[in-house]
Amino acid sequence: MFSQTDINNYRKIKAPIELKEKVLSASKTSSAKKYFSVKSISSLAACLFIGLFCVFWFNNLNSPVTITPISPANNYPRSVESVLLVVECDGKIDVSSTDNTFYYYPEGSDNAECLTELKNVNNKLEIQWNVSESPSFLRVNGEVFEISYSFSEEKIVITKVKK
Amino acid sequence: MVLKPDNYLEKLYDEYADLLYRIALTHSLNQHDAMDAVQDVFLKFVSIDKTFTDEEHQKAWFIRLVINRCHDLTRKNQVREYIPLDEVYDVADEESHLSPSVKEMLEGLPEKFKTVLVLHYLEGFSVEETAMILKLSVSAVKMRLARARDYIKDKHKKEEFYV
Repeated sequence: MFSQTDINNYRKIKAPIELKEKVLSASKTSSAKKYFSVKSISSLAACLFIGLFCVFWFNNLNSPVTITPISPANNYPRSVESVLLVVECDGKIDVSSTDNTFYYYPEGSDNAECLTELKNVNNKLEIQWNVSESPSFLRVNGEVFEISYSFSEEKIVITKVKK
Repeated sequence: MVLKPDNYLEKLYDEYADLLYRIALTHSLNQHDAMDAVQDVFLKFVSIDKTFTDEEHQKAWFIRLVINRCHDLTRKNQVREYIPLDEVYDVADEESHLSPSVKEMLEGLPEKFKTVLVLHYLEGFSVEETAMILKLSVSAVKMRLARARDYIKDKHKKEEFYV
């Protein structure tokens, strides 16, 4: 087939010297382009968006909920008929109750509405509670609170029941 | 993406460039296309950030890629004129060219015969290694080698006849 001389001469063939520099410099450009390609930037943007969304959602989910009586704020004799409570949270508030004992005032309205379910309320919600309906249960952002009146101590007791 | 040392490409180039260039030269029969094919193979390697199970796998991948790239360039050359090797022969760069006798034997040989011939006779790969590189069965490689030898024999007979 091939003479030994042909084979020996063939195996001595080397790539031209200038080819190495061409390959190495072209590969550096190619690597840089790879890092800054549209695809990589899009992936990065998508990851950033998902990350921000998760942070926001997680933050919202775990932001502590507080329920505080504000009117009256301190004294709760047995004559107290209703208490104004403020429900507060850093993010959005989803609140619901099946007891029909809580009332709120929709924005721009003077009429109280019975609270069954409200969603995406910003930060703070004021609700009226009838003491005579004690105990009542309110679910806020997935957490259930028991609001009750202690006759012996004459005070409003708010406890977290379960998530 | 696996992090590789900065000089990894250079090491790979030093290891494979001569082999790939020789194979590219036998397939393209044109120094410029051979250089382009080798450059394209290394750029492809950088762009897809490939990892290999072992060195044999790695070598086979590079060889297959350079052969395929030569085929692409050959197809392109069929529609444009290119300067034959003889006319751009650089005396100072003899070690980058095929000898006339080898070139004559490979000219006109169908690609699939040329590939097995080059890998087995010129590069010295065994039939089994050639089969592994080209992802062919051993019997397929043996068949192609036999047909390549017959082809060259017939070609010489015809040349002798016409002389």
